[in-house]
Amino acid sequence: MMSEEIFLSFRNIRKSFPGVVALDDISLDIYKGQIHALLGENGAGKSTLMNVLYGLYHQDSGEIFLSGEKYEHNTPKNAIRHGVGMIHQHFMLIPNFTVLENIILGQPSPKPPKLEKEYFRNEILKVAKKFGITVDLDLLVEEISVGMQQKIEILKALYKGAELLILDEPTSVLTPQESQELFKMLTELNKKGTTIIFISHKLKEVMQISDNISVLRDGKLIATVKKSETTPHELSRLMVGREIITQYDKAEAKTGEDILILDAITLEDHHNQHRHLLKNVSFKVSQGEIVGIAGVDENGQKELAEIISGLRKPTSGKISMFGKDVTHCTTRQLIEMGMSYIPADRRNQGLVLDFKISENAILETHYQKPFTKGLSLQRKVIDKFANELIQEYDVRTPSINVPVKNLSGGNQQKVIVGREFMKKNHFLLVMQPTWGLDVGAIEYVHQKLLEAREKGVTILLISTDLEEVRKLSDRILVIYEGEIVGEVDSSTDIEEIGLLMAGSHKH
Amino acid sequence: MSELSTTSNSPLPIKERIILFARNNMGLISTLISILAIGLALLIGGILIAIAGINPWEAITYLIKGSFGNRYGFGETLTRFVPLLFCSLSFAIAHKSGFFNVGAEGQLLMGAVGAVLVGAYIDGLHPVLHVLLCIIAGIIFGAVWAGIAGFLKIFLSSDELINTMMLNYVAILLVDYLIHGPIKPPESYLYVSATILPSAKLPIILSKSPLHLGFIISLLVTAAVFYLIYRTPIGYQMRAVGANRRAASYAGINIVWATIVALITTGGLAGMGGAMELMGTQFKIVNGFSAGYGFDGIGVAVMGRYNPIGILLAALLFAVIRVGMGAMQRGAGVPFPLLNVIQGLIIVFVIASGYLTNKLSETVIGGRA
Repeated sequence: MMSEEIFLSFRNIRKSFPGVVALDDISLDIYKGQIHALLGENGAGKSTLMNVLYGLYHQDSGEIFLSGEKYEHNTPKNAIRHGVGMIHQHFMLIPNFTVLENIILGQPSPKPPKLEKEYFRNEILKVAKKFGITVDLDLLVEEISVGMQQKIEILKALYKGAELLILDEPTSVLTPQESQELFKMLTELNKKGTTIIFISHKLKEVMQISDNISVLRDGKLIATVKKSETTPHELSRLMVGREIITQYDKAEAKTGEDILILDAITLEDHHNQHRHLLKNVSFKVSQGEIVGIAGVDENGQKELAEIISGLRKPTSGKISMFGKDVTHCTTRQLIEMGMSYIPADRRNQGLVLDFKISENAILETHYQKPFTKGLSLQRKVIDKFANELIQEYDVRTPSINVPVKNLSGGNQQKVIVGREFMKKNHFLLVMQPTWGLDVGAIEYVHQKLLEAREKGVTILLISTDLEEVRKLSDRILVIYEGEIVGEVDSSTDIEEIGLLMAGSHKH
Repeated sequence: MSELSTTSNSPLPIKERIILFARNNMGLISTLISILAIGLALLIGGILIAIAGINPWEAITYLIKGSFGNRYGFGETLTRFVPLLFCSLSFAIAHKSGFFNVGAEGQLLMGAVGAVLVGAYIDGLHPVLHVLLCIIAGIIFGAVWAGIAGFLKIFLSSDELINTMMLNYVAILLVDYLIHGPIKPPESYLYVSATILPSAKLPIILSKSPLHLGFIISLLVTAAVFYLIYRTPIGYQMRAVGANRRAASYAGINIVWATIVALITTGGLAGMGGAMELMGTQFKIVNGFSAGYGFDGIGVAVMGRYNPIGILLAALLFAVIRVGMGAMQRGAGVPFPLLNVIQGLIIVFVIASGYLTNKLSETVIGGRA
């Protein structure tokens, strides 16, 4: 399918937010029937460009042409009418509606006021058959897997008549196997004539699936290349502007005594006594090693982290830390003993967004000396500490008095990393430490973790990013449906770990 | 802002320069916008007064004369200011702690009940001690009243907005019951509570006016409240819980404890306001003891943007309107409902201006990179 007909073209698109030029004079052609990848780090402008097309933002200047015609009044509704379908990173599905109900949401009924579900069912099945998608329309969305939900999103877009599908980081929530299935499906759709824009920061995927690749960096279009004429190496250089590290050199772990021991931790579901969120989880983490917990999202990682950090109590089982039984300790007691926690959701769990950087820097230690003396917080001491933090951890900000909500994700994470590393810590619980960060920030966080390991800090790393777990961990435990289903080391083949993550041990 | 000022060495386009100026002077701009909003509200109020067939200039003259123009009026304005200030502090501190307390009216009434019990029925104390005990009783009664809603929230996740609101009516009716029986002096033929003893009364601090010591106390309490919330660890914890409960719990902050302290403070402040009104102005509880101070306090806190100077100014403005409008009604014959309309206009305009300021500061500080 190498037609030379241009389906969509951007002409000199410019979009700025105060202080930042998000899109700087972007001109780009998307050919009909191709898979075109937009590659770039976070904040490079990939999603912004697509959001301009989809009408979530408006360009400051520049024009968009769809099938040769000038496309104005960009709103989501209008985009859909013009055959543009967007699959967002976070699915826009209602969990307690069925698949069918989700797809027909917002569609005008042929015979109002009746809903005419059967009419829609037939129509949807026709579309599904045409594109070779198999679905059960009567399942509730909350019952189906993430990969399936994504399929539903795609089917929804196709049903609304999409000729151009935009997928924003579609694999970030999938297992390796699910990703492969998605690619198969996309190739299939493409063969049937659907044009696809694939947004990603993962080189491997882009190389696997696309015809053309456009690389964006800092809001500028750096290059558009044919896949057949490029290499991953070249792409990575275009993307970051320098070479990136794919493997870390690290010394053999010098392990000492057991710092964290979980003994048969079980957690029952509040709402459903027969369901176990965690089932008989036992493992040890020794001093100076990084143990990674790999797994697909929602397999009990959140609950495990909450239990280890004292935020939640297990139904049964025992935890000890630093040789002490801490099953009934509060979070503050654990923090005082030397636990540090970098939670998964920095905006909701790690930071108080409305607080200034200086206030966030002391979230766990504000009541201790020297930040509090007598009855009062010592503002000068706190400010000095915060200034040290932003310098040492390279937080880019005009001042420590900026509310952290105004910082970029990477800088927010640096505030958290700085805070946790600048206090006494012997055991570090880290969850999704690089989620949503760009390559530079990811490397930075990883280096800090490895440095801590060198200093003898014990680290438990919980992450759904398998690459990350493999790069950093000395040992890897795989969690599936609340159970530890296997232990491997970092040299294990990624496919094998992927199979464990997908629950293949059950077969 | 050092990094920003260094970049301004090179000539910037005019739009960027305006943004930079606004970013550095947000406080000034928001104050100007608020003043403009009040001016606009008064302008519309003036037009309404003119439509009602009254000379607006004459009405304004009465407003200013009545609230500032003479010693008595001035004293009365500052006296009205006291319960308004306490109630707005109560609302503001609850707001900062993530607790929506619209029950200051009831807490104020209960505080007055506590103060009247100690003030009227305990005899033979030194005035300083007696006054102190009355205030403490007021604080405890107010705090307990807020605590009921707090208990329901912490342990049963019951919505505090509904509960504090409902408890207002419970308090109003409870006080009504009390002054019809239990705390009514047997010899009285009116439905009032017993009068507090002279040793429990707050001294007048401006002769030939009703202004009492409660005014000074209220200013000291304002300072103490903002010290508590911004300069102490527990205040920090209350704010952290208010701004993001989850992050606070992840950081090991004891949420239940921070919430309890917030409740004691919010209820205690309203209760203290009731005690002050009782001990300085009314000396006994009558039907309609609170002229809606608890509700006005919410408006004051919102208008004052929850910051100390803003709240002091807003409370003063409300007190001026309350007292001055009485004079407008008596002198210029402006009907009272119209006065309520003007007060309402001021609140609406100032809140709208707050929205404008927020939008502006969002635009100026900008989306994330």
